[in-house]
Parts: sequence; structure tokens; C-alpha cells
Amino acid sequence: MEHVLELGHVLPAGDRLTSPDGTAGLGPTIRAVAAGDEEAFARLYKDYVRMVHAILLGRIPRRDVDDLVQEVFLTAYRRIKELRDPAAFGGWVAAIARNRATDYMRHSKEPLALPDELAGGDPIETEAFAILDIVKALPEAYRDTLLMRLVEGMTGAEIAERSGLTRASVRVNLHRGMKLLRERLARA
Amino acid sequence: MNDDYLVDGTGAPDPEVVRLERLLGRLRSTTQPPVLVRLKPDRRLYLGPRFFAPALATAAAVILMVGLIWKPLRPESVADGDPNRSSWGVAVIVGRPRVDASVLTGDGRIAVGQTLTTDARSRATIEVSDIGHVTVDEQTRIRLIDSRDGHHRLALDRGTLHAAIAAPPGQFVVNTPSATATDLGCVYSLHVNDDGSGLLSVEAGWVAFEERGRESFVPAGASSRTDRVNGPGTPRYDDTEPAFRDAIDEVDNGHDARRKETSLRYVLDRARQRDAMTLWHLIPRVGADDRAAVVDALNARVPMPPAVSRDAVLRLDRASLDQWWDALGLDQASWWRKWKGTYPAAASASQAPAAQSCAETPTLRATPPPTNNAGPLGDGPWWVNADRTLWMQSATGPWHAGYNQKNMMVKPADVRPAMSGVRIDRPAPPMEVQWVPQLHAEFQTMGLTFPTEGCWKVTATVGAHELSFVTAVRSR
Repeated sequence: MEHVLELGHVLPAGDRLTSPDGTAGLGPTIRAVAAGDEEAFARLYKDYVRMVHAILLGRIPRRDVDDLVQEVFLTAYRRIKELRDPAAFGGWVAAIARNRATDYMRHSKEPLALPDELAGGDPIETEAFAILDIVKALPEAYRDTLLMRLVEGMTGAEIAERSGLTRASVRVNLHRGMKLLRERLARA
Repeated sequence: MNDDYLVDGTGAPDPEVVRLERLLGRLRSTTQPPVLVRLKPDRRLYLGPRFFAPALATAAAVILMVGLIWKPLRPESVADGDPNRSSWGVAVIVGRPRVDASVLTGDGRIAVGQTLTTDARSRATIEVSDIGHVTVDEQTRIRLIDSRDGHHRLALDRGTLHAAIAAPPGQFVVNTPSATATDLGCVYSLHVNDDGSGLLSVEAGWVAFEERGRESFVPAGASSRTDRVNGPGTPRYDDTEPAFRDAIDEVDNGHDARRKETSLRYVLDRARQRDAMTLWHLIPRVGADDRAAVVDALNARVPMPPAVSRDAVLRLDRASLDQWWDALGLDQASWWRKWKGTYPAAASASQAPAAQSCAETPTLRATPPPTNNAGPLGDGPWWVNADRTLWMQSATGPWHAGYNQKNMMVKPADVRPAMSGVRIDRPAPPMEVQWVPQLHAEFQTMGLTFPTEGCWKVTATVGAHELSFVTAVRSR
């Protein structure tokens, strides 16, 4: 099967629940959060914050990413009772993050072309932000998976488990995204 | 080379991926889980760290941060055509609350003009637009008066509500029969008795409590009673002795002159250092005969600043009172005046916030020329000089006093830049500049700190080129 952009391709819940990294326990965790369990919420945050951070980093100025990460989890906390399938939490919170970023950009008064961050003379920092700008210009699915991998240090398996994508889709996105990134870096 | 290293970090390292990991890894998430704020044993709300900064440095800092960052995050409301914007979601906690005549059994909505009523066995929670929650206790009646972008107003006719609001100061207001509570970014409880009197208790942030020009600014950990005749009472910290609180109530609302005098003496004698907040509020509330004693008591706890005269305070000069307030260590008076406007009956034109009358230099939507050390810089808005050799803009939005805010400049290469800033509407220390001027760079960043609010003229000189602009600096 030819994969183009694996943005919305998610596994059936049963597949995710048999994942090796512990998402099988997601149902009780979600229910505990819905019941107000603070530790469960902290666990959920720890498990998914890197994915949410990567999604936001690819869409909004970096200086506001941390605040929007908090916003996203606050929204998830408020609405967690709306989540019918606990195993779908990853895709659900990712959608919240994307929607929040869209809202932010729609209502932002700042010109979008402003540099994301001011490097202030540090050549490594300057290079990092320049590369980030290039990654941000990639197609969405490539951008998200590459940022999860290269910024957050998640493995392909982790990306799949957190985002709800199949591992094959993650591999394809990483492969094609990296290929495109290399091309654009070579031109930059 | 296969993708194993790219996908899961196994196999032979791909040098390009390793390089990207090293560079981009600097941008990795470092955020911590939102802090759980317990409103009551059975009520909770998660708020982000900007509301409850490490160690809760000051509640006012919380408000400041909310104010600074909320605006770009807030979606516009009515304009987006969402029909739910003029109504708020209501969720039943227990029992059968009513919205007007309709009994709620699950989730519902309350629209502007409607009334939510709980009986002795019901409670509900309301989602206040997208800025927070209000929990409505038993035997309570509230009305939704207004809900527009930046303006949300309830009326609490009787009963108790608990509000947790994360919005810039002044966006969420609750009317009561005897005072109006204006949220300044906080968590608080408000109770109204059947006779219209009430009690405001603040758990985080600040609440302004006012009626007919009488104001109380209530910080976290403090409460203020309100009375239908006398309006908002003098705020006091909740950890004061009951006798101290009773004495405050007597001073505020008592009818027996001798008892009031005795109570005032008790308050002045027993006030602790942190009760300076209470003493400051008492200055305009007591009669002229008692005012000097209150001033002396406050002076004993927090000395009057050198620039403040006793006579001015006794005359209730607002600027002098504000300066003394600033010395209490709570936060500067100016930040709540910022949204409140001039102080009723006391402010003069000279005391109005200077920034309001500042003739700011217009900015320009244009793209600066490419630089030798930065990527595309966008179309501003920029301040630009006449020959378009110098371009500047704030990288962090509007200026606020007391902060080192990042600024960026496009300039000619191989010329050393210099900058200065002076307040032009009132004397003030000069603007501070933190930077390492980069001789060869065409793109340069620097931190600017304006020590006070007001109207400032900033001048950048790079060789023979000069850029000057006037900008308003807001209070914290």
C-alpha cells in the first residue's frame, strides 16, 4: 500500500491496547483522571507532553509553545469525560493541540513571517532555529513526526504509540520527511 | 544506509540525523505538569504555571503573566459566529439545578439573560466562556448578564459561587446587591446573604471589590465583607485573629461611636506587619479625626516612603497613597489602575497614566533588507528611519515597565550601534540596554528595560544613521 501522508491513519483500538509500552493501561488511567486523580493526570502528561510539544513547536512561535502545552492539557483534563475510547487519547489530545495551534495562529496579531526566535549571536542557536524553520515548512505529517523524533527524542515506536499512527506509517513519514528535509537543507 | 537509526536510534548512526538531533534537541520540551489548585476538597482545577508561578512569587506576578500572554491566546468571540459564545455550558454536579424554568439533569447551557438556580440539594458548575469555571453551591441564584469577548458579567443574587478565572484583569465581573467583584486573575469565593450583604474570600490572585467609589483590593489569603449600606469592607487576611476581624467589621459597619472607636484602637494596636494592607485601606475609610492615628500605625509597620508627605496622605492624595501602597511589597498600585482608569474623585489629570496620552511613533509594515546573519525578518511592524537604514521592533509585544524585553534591530554592517531611552512625560531613570553590539552583523538583538511606565523616546544611533521613536510603556 502506498503511503502518502499518514496524518490520520490510526490503528484500531485493539491494536494499540496490545502495545508493548504500557498503553494497555491507558483505560484505567483515563478513568482515574476523569475521577480527579492527580497522579494519573501527571502520568498522562509525562507520557504525552513530548508529542504535544512537538505538534505545537511545528506550528506556533517557540516562545508560546510551553504555555500552549499547558493549555492543551488543561483542555484535555476538562473534557476527558467526553473521550469515549480511552485508547484514542493520543489522537484526541493531538487534535486538541492542532486545533489550539490553529486558533492561536488565526487570532495572532503578529506577522507570521517573523523569525520564531531571536538567536542573539549564538551560532548553534541560530542554526537550530534556521533548521526548525525549514522543518516547519514541511508537510504536516512529516513535520510532526520529524519533530517528535529529532527534537523530542522519541523513537518510531513511541511516536506510533502516542500518536495512534501505525509504526509503518511513522517509518514512512520519517523516511520521506527526512529525505525532503535533506533536500531543503542542501538548498538552504 | 537504512532508516533504522532515523526510526528508532538503532543501527549505524546517520551523521546528518545525529547533527539534527544535537541541534534540534536544544528545543526539547521542558515543561512540567500543570499545577493542581484545590479550590475546596471536592473542587479542583488545573491551571498552568503561568498562573501559579514557582513558589507563587506573588499573586500579582501571576496576574501580570496572565495579562501578558493571554491576549494572543484568546480566540475572538462573537465575531466568529459561534452561537454558543453568548451562552455558557452548565454541568450538574448534584441534584436538579434550574436554568429559568427548565430543570437540568445533565449538561445544559445558560444564555445571557437567563437565571441559574440551585436548591438545597443541587450544585452546578459553569464554564465561563473559555476563561475559567464557576462552581455554584446550593441555595444560589445567579444571572448571566453579559458575555462578549473580554466582557463577562454575572449577577449573584444570593448564595455562594467559587470562581477560577484565567484571564486578563477586569474581564470577569460579578455583581452582588452590595458590591461588584472584578476579577484580577484569580481564584475566589463569593457569598451573598439574603439581605444583600456578603463575603469575598480570595484564594489566588486579586479581586477588586467596589461599590459607589469605595474600593477594596483583596489579595490571596484575604477576605472582605460587604454591606448593603456601606459597600465593600476593609480587607483583612484570613489568618488574623477572629477578634481582629470582628473589630474590622465594627469599624466598617458599626453604629455605636464608642464601640467603633474601641474597635479601631484594637485594630491599630494588634495589626501585624502584613496587616499593613488592612491599615492602608482604612486610611480613607475612617473619619478625619482618626486618620492620623491610622497613618501612624501604618507608618510603624511600613515606613512612609521619603517622597510621600504625611500631609498629602492625610488629604487622601491618591498619588501619595499609591506610593505608600507600592512600599507594602504587595505590588505596585499602578497595575490595577491600568485597567481601572483614574481613581474616583481623587485622581487628577496629572495622575492619569501617562501612556494613555503618549503620541507614539507609527510603525511601518515593510520588509527590511536581507541581513548577513539572519533569515527573513518579515514585514514588521517596524520603526524605520528616514533613509531606511535602521529598523527596530519589539520581539515581545508591547513594552511593560520593569522587564528586560527583547528588541531586534537591522542596521548597516561594520558600524557600532548605540542606544538610549528617556521618559518624556515625566522624570524617570533612563532606559537600560543589555547587549553586545555586533560590529559586523546586520541583524542585532538587545534587551531593553524601561524602569517605569509612561511615554518614552528611544534613540538608536549607528554611525551617521539615527532612528528615534516614541513608544508607550505600560505598567506591570
